[in-house]
Amino acid sequence: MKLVPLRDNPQFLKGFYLRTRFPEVIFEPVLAALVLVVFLVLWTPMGGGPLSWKALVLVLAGMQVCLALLLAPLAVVRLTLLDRMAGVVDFYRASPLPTRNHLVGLVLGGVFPEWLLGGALFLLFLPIAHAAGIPWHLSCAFAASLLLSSLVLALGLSGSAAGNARTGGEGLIVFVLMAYGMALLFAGKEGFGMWIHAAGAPVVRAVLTHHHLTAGEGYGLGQTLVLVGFQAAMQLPLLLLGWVSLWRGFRGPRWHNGRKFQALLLSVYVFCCLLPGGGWSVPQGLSPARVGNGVVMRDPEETNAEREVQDYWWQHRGMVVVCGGMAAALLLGTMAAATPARGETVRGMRRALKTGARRAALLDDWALNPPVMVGVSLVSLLAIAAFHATGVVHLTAGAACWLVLVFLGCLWFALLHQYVQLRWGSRARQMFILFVLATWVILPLVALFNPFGMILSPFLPFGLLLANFPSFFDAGTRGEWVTPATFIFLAADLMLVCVFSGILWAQYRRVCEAVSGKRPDGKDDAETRPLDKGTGGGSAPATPEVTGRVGARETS
Amino acid sequence: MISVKSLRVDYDTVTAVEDLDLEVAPGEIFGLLGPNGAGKTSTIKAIARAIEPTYGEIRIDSVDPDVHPEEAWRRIGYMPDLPPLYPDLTVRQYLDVFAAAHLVARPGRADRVRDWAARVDLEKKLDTRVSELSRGMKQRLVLAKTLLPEPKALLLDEPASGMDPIARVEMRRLLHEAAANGAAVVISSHILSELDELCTAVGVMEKGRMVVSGSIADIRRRLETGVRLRIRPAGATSAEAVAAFLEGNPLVSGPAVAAGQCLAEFHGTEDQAAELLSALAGGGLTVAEFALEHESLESLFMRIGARETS
Repeated sequence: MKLVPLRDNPQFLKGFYLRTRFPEVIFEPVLAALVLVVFLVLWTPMGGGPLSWKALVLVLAGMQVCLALLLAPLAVVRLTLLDRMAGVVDFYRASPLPTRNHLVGLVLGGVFPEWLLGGALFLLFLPIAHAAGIPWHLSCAFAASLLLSSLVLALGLSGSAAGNARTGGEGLIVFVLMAYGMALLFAGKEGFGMWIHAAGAPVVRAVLTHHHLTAGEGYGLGQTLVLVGFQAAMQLPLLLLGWVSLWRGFRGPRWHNGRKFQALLLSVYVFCCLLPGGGWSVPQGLSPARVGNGVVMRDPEETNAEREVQDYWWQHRGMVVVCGGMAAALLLGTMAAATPARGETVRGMRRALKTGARRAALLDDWALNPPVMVGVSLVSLLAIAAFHATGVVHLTAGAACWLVLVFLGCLWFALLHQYVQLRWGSRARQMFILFVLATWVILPLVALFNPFGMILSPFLPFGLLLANFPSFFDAGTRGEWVTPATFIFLAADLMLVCVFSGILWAQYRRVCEAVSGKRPDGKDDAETRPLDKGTGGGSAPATPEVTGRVGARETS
Repeated sequence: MISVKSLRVDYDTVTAVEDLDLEVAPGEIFGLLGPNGAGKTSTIKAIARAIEPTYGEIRIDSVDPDVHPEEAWRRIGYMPDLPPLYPDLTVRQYLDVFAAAHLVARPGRADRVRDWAARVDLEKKLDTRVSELSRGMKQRLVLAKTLLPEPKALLLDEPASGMDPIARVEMRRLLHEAAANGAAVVISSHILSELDELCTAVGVMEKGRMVVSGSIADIRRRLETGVRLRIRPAGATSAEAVAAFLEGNPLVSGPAVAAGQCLAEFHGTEDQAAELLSALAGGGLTVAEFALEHESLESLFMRIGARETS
């Protein structure tokens, strides 16, 4: 993993040259730095009291957040887009410099003014935060948290920007990722789940609320390290996803940056986000009963009863979230893995036929056919049933119905997605992305920020109805909730799965026939049917037979 | 050496290149000809790995780009048809960025940048922004960027478009120099007369297939194109007399008179042409000009069957 020095890194050099042009570009960070200095000079005489220091800490923290989470990622995206628009990416693709150098150079070179300014802000922040009573380790954790989040955002967004119609897929994956992020943000208001670690929220919250804590009740060094570690672990799949997307944009498709690998990373991330967070996400030091100067005094019996109800609620909710997460992760992965469009699918088949099933063809180009998708779903359901049988989780009848519904909904959505990719043109595919936008982002917000609406919303209208069902999470107190409507929805989803499986299978069969003259089941067709336009492509244009010495046209 | 076997490139529902074979030896300059959409650009891009071919075996100096991509790219210089540029960089900065991308070591990189800028006549523009250059200058800049790492395989897609005649002559000189240093060059161009002077071999593509390829002389031979004989009589000798003399000569066919000259197809060697000239003189015919004219590449291309030149 040796990197060339930055002075020999073309992306760094490009970023450096472009961001140090005088006066138009260098002006931005210089102006920002000047404003900061003036602000501090004016602020200092006003300072003196602890309140003043705390306010200054908030201002500096806000500036760092803005710099790390907005300006720096935008700068990287801007440079990536410049490469793509100017067509220079082809030059980088044909460069002998190892890819990691390009990516490191892009992230460091493009945003070096922001990094420098961020570093300066951090150096200012440290003593001021200390003066405000925030321990050193918390300030450092804050900076580390922002740095991690900034890297994830920069790589993720520029990975998306580097993709194009030729490399494909990244847009959808990053888009789905953002939708998940938004939905999780609102799901987070419920106060559970590991998602907040992925956003780096605990560390930021710790800093921002530190002044409310009495001495000794805040985060210790060990606890802070664990929080930062959690954040790093949670963001690792996203970091890798952004890295491989960018890699794909700069170097073209390879098996190790293939869509299925990206889908796997996304699935891991989503699964982790849905894990119950327990005490880590709501540390005891910040629980309402212990926060602030005014300690809330409660009756011990009342507190115990409340705790028992909460424990029960959390247990069931966590269980369902784990299962839902497994389902969503596996099936989302299946769906995302099946993103190659018609032309790419045909190309993958053709390549596999010619050269054997090479890794690139299998992992990147080939779409998953319905039996594989149904198989994945069944294996996932069986895994959950095994969890139930071994007592790892406890499924109520309502929860089991819900899970089956989620699986069926996911499955038909994945089949529909595959069908759109194989059958429709690019315009229709764009419309499909709009559909995803509506169902994954807007409707979850409409559905009262319901965390489960996020999982169910793609499968509207059934999902929306289900999301608003009297919750089976209350099964312990209100009884089971399996109604005739549940079975109607199950039947409807099953019917959709069957219909789309049939349509997609026929579609897939036509594509296979067009490529090889053989059916997917291996039987030879007497003759290869010509591929009519729009039903799965890849057919070669009528190529004249090359015969004789010239062949293309008669030679005079 | 560039070696391509069974190359195929598909875009969605279109097959751009189909089962293409190509061998370009070191020192050879291979011209790709063909009408619009014949697959020339796709071929060059696939060899440069700017696009992923559907399948096909490509070797650059015996290196497989699938197995050792960075080793292969070290040997490749690629110039696309539309020059990709950063408008806000200066010429010096642009060359420096791509010299670094091709692992040109820092000590001496600045000198090499200056040297190559001079070789494409841009040394006075070193600190000018790329956006302020003319189209021909931009093309020369990208040519300098391509040649600067001194690659063993040069892939040039329409490199002369937008260049003025002097720059074209300079480009030809640079490419001959690269070939003389052992580079294998593949070039596509719509200026056929230019390829005629530049290339040692050509290939004509149509609808994704290589219709014919080989050295220009070889193609002429395969097309059985005769050499045109042009004789301008002098003194009292008339063109009609020369035509009458040539009638019945087995090496000559279709003698005709046009604009006071005798034109015919000649099917012999140069020695036989010399003997014919002696026979003309021996027959008492005075000749002011005796010329064997080969068919131009453009005319060959039209005969091969392409409707339009790209």
